Amino acid sequence: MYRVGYIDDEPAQFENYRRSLLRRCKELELVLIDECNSKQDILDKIYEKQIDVLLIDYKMVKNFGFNGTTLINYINDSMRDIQCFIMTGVDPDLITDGLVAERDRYPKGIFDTEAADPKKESELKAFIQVLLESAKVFQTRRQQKLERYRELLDKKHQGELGADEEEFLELYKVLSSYGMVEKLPKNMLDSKFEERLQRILELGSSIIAEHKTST
Amino acid sequence: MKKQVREIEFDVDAYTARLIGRENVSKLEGAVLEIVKNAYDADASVCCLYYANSENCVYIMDNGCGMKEEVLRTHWMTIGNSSKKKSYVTKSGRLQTGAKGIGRFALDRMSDQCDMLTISEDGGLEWIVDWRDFDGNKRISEVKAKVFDTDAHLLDHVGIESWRNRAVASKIVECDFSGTGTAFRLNHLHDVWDERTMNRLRNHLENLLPPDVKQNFCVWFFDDTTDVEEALITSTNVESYDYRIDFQVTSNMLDIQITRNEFDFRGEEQEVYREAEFDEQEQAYLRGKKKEEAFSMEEIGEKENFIGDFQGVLFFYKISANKKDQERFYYKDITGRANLAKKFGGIKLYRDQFRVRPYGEYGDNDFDWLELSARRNRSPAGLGKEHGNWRVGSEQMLGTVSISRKNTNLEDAANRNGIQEGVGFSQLKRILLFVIEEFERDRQSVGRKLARFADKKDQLVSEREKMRQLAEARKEWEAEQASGKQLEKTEKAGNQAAKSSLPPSANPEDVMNLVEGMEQKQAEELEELRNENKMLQTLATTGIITNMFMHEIRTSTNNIGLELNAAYEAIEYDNDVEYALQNILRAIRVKKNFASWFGITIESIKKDKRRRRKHNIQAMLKQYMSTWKDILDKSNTALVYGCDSDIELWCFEFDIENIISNLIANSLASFDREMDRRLEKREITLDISGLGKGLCMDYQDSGWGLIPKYKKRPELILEPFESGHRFDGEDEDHGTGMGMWIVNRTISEYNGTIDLSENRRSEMGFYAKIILGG
Repeated sequence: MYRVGYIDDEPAQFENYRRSLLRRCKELELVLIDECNSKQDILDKIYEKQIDVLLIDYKMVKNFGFNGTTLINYINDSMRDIQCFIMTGVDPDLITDGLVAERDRYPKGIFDTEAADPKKESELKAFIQVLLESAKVFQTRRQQKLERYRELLDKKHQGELGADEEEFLELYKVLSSYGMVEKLPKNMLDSKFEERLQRILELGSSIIAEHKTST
Repeated sequence: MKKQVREIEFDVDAYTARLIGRENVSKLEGAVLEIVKNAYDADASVCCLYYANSENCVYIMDNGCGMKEEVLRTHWMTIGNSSKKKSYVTKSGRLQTGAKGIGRFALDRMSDQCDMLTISEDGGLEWIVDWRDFDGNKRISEVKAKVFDTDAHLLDHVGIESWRNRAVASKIVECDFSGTGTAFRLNHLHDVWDERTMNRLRNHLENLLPPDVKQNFCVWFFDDTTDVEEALITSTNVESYDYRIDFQVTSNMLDIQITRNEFDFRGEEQEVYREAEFDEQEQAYLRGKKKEEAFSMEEIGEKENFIGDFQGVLFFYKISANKKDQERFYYKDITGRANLAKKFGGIKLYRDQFRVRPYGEYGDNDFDWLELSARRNRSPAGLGKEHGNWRVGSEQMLGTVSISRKNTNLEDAANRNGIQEGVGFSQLKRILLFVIEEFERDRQSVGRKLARFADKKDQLVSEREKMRQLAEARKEWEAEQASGKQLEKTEKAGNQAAKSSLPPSANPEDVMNLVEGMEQKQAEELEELRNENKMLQTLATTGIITNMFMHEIRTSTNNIGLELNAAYEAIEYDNDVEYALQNILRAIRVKKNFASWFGITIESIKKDKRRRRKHNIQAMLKQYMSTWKDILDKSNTALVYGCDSDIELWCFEFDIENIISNLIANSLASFDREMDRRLEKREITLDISGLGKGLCMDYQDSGWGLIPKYKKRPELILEPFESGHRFDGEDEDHGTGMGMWIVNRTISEYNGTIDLSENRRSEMGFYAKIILGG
């Protein structure tokens, strides 16, 4: 099951969209990202709800103070891989701020299939296919990240992390947020931690050795 | 001393070769045109273009003569070497239009991968190329395409059995694709083929072939959901017109045939013909007989014919005419006419039945390639004017001009964008302008006669004419009196003067009646104009508000559709009546919200609001603000207003409403401006108090205030087309720039003033103090 996050300051249509998606694709679940006051709140919720792809309303200034395109810019700064789509009540071509590519803008009316009109149905199905593919890509990339994380974790244990530390921390942040790796105490993430641990172990070993010779 | 002489070959970098191709075919519509042209040049009777939405690939197929391996090697695979350079007449007698040998780059423009099957009399060949192989540092000769011998059929190659659009597929199967021809499958497309792209391409294809020509070539263009009727491209045609002008240039002669179809004398033919002095020949032209004219090159100011024979047909097509002109010039009823130039284009150029872009292409710089608009600006005279030439507008003139590759001095520009500038093209333009002038002359000759007749019919005008004649006679009489010759001449004067030797003079009562009549007519016309102006201002305000709240209006429309569709699906798929019921109730609630919009838009032009009378402003305001309430509530905006109870003002109701509506609309747009933080408060305050015989209106809001552009000089917003609304982007401006201009105009009509100076001092909010004199 893939999780499609939905962000709208007036989510009156959420339940209709959720049912519409589920009817056409059992693999997609629409999840409402609500009770947020800031962009950071929204980002935290995306991690918390383990979202794979996002649908974001365009006009949200009234309640949030920013529009959907600005929000996507913010989300993609932290989560480069997650695919975000803008949903708008007006013609998608009227969004001209240049923050979101034309192919990632859809009219909200795409969910209105006008009582199974074949043309509308095929448009919605094509859109759902895009959502599904985007979600799959995101999961695959996360999986790849996990493998890379494990590789770096081994290096870390051997005290060979060096210049890769930043990448390691970045991967840890994303993967732990998605519950894909075990959460570690803050001090364990520090590169000095392994050194200190090594010193303690060495110290312990020398104490034991000393104790053995004295006995 | 020279030694060891060597010859070194030139070569081309593969990427450069590709760039040359791309420069030549830069737009998708240009690429599609090239491909259809190739099919036509191959003697095909059918060309089919299918965008498969589900596979995101394009299939192109024609039933032309296909290519033999030798042609494939020496022409198709040799850039710049076209088989059509020397011999360009096909077996069936078509004149081939391509010759540059770069049309195949159209395929590169469309996609990265191309798989072609071409079947000639010698059998089938499959040719596969990945245009990305041209990238990198390879030389052109290092880039290879794969070729196979194959016995596959065209319909198998495009996999017609699996096409989703079964209805059109079955029609294609019926076409003759069993023998020779060429089929492409294009993968990894460069463009998004959405509805907009499809519509754009369809419009281009509809204009690709000239109308009125019986073709032995048809084009199918469709995607997974296109209907059969829509998939078969039919050339756009001009079905109704006011004038038709056919012309032919043959050797040294220009022949023109003008057909009038503009006038309808509504059963008064005999009277109009007589009174407007149309002779018998003119009458025949007005009944539809072609007016034929012939000129030699010398007569039209040309030394000789540089380009050879060509021909064309032009149409004059009015988009609008006001009521007065319709009566004065006996125009046929053109109610409901659409701007055909958008669909058909302007004056289009065809070479051997194929469109030469971009001449006459609506929206392109070359739409008005004959510069008709500039000509009209230089000579803006009306149709009935005795002095000054009437000139046609660029959007009123449509048509096609047919040239051929046999014409000289009219070569295609290398970038496939038009004709090379030079003596030939200049002459072509001059001849076309001459043809257009002939039509203009004809139309204005009719217009002048009808205008004179209309003036004669108008009693006041004829009275005025009588007075003018008397004044002339009196002037003459006085001059003769002075020279002592008045005696015999007085008889020549007007009716009154003719009976006696008295000097010619007008009856004072007649003069009084005439002046009164003229004054009354002038007053009526002025009042009519004023009302029209008011109405237009209100309609403009309605438009401004509708435009400004398009998002909200569209959202409501969408929501009604979504709720009804959700109700349908809940019953159809889940049998969930309870959920469907909730959907319907929500749809009804949204529908109620619409009523508020109608209150502000449609209701504002009600007839009773167009009467000037004494209004109690408080009562009027209370009623009007209630119409805004729902909209303001929905946008979380508080409205605080107060008004003295005893203000009575002579005014039009919609003037006051226009001022308030425009101010509120601006405030709401300001509230929705995206800034770096959320707006704390959304509040509008309006306070109206009495001031002498008029009133003073204090308006303010708690929004972000004027944008920096207007902060120091807020009075600029009162000028037309000044707009600070940025619905979304940095560059795109969606405000009309008319709202505050209308407010200012209305205020000045009431001898009022508007003070915006507070905006200079305040960081936030918008402030306006308006005084209306009454």
